[in-house]
Amino acid sequence: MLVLDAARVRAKSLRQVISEPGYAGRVVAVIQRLVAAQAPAEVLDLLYEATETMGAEYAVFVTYIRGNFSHENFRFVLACDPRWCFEYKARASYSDDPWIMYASSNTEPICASQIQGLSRSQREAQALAVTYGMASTFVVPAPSSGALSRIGMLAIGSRQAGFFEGDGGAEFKVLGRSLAMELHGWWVRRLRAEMISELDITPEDLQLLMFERSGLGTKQVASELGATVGAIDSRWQRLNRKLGTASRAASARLAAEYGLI
Amino acid sequence: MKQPGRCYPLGYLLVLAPPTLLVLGLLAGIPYLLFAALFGVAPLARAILGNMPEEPGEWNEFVTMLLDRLPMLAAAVHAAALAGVLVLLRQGHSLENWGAWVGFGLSLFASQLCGIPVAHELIHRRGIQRTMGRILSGITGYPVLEGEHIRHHSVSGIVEQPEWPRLRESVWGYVGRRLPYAFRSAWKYHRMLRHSSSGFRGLATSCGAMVITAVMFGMAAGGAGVLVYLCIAAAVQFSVHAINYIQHWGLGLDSVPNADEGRYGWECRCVLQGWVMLNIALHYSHHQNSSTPYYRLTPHKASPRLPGGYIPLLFISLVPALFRRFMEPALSAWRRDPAQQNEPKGRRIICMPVVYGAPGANKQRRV
Repeated sequence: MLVLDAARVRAKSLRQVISEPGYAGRVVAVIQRLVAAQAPAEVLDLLYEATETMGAEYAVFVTYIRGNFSHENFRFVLACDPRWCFEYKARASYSDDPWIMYASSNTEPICASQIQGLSRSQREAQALAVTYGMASTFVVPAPSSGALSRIGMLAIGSRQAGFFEGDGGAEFKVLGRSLAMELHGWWVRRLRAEMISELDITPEDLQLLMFERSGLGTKQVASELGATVGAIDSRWQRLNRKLGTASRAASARLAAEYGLI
Repeated sequence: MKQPGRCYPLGYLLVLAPPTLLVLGLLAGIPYLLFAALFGVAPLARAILGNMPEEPGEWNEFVTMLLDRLPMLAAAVHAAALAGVLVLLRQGHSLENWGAWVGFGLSLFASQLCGIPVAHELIHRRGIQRTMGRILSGITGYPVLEGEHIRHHSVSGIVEQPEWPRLRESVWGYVGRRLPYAFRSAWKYHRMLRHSSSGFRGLATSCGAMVITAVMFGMAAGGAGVLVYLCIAAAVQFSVHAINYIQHWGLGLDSVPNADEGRYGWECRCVLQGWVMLNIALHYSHHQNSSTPYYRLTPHKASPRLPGGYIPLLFISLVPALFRRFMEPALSAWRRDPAQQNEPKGRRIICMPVVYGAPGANKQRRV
């Protein structure tokens, strides 16, 4: 988790902020720099800059595997009050976070105040965010397409109550989506690289996975690679062990879900 | 480093042993057979079988596919064995005296408890396998396993909530805190996912399985049968959380500064335990990636190692002073040097106590 504190109060409304000359251009310019970011610390700086440029004070981006709430699947980028982060972790709030739950099954950005059907613990999680400065929050899901199971959620917060509930939400939504999807794309690439490095996945392994995903049989793959069927089977044996799966079909499915291919 | 031999995967078939021995014991007039085997003989197995290898095995896809399907078979065998036993009792295959009934009850408890690692493996999977896990957890008398366990994986090291035991807490205190919390936690989990198949429908499946099992006990032995089932269910629930206590004691944020990121759990390399319980004792590795199937788990190089297996430690934990006597040296040794891997070495009749030396003292090759 990376955290950067931002505590400046803004008096302008959302409509006033987005009506400033060059607003959209300045925000897009920051978002574009995300593509070239090398490290999470750089992403954090850019998130803070984008948040401020957009007229808000705080932001949180989280990426996780849809439907899997195990701790190891979550990655956070936190441009917000560090005390909120510590308390959020201590309460393990992300396992019952209303914003994460919303992003898991919706694609439309929404004001947090409009999310319905919250349990008591979810209302408490929301109240905790208000306590630490996010009086008004805009929740932007970052969905994935195809087999990719990793999704994201961007929450942009303002100290001003009702900031996002007022006029200007439609325009803000476009920029929020753009920021969320760039953050999501960055993390997908980052985690793909991490997985390849940690599991020692070679380019030949990726090629094998793509062949399997394309539906090629073992003989066809052997012919393509100029190898014997036995050699291909051995390679699959090693690759399945690396990926922790039982079969080549499961390995190809996992690789697609985790963005390896 | 030593890798598992080619015949190693065959050992996992022993996951079918507990329900099989339950039925065989009843048929053979030795109702305590499973309990005696699991709690009396199995802890001595390290003398013959030793520890599992540190390196993963590389098996062909046919073997790994069979291993992948084995938990489903085990779940079916557990259910069939329980149904078979109840049918035998109803048909008059009665037990002769109170001693036989106690022996049978203990064996039944042992079989139900051994169903939990199978259910645990299945609930970490998807689709029909997760559904089978829910059904099995209901049959064993712990229908909230999915909800509370999935949430357990979403937190690490937190001792304020009963997810990780406190350093100064006994098993009695922890289970007393955890049991009601587990039910609330499971309810929250299923409510959170109420729009998916893991929501209330999932909880209804496991609760329904428990109710049906209770009814079958009633049909086999009347009110006494239902009472026996519920008592065994309570014992299973206590044991599940007592084992959770053993798996995470001393590894929370009140003891280890980075427990939240570390996701620490004690590990034990006893081969027989690994086979019968589908490597549930490789708990540190399991918490690093909960999606890894049991046959792909290997002991983590820097994991804290238990001074003995779950069965002896389960009994030892009931006496808090005795538990601390065994575990505190293990915890201190791990803190000094996580890579030292202090654990029962080689083939021994009794797996405890472990000798803890200075850092670097125990670096001989292990069996």
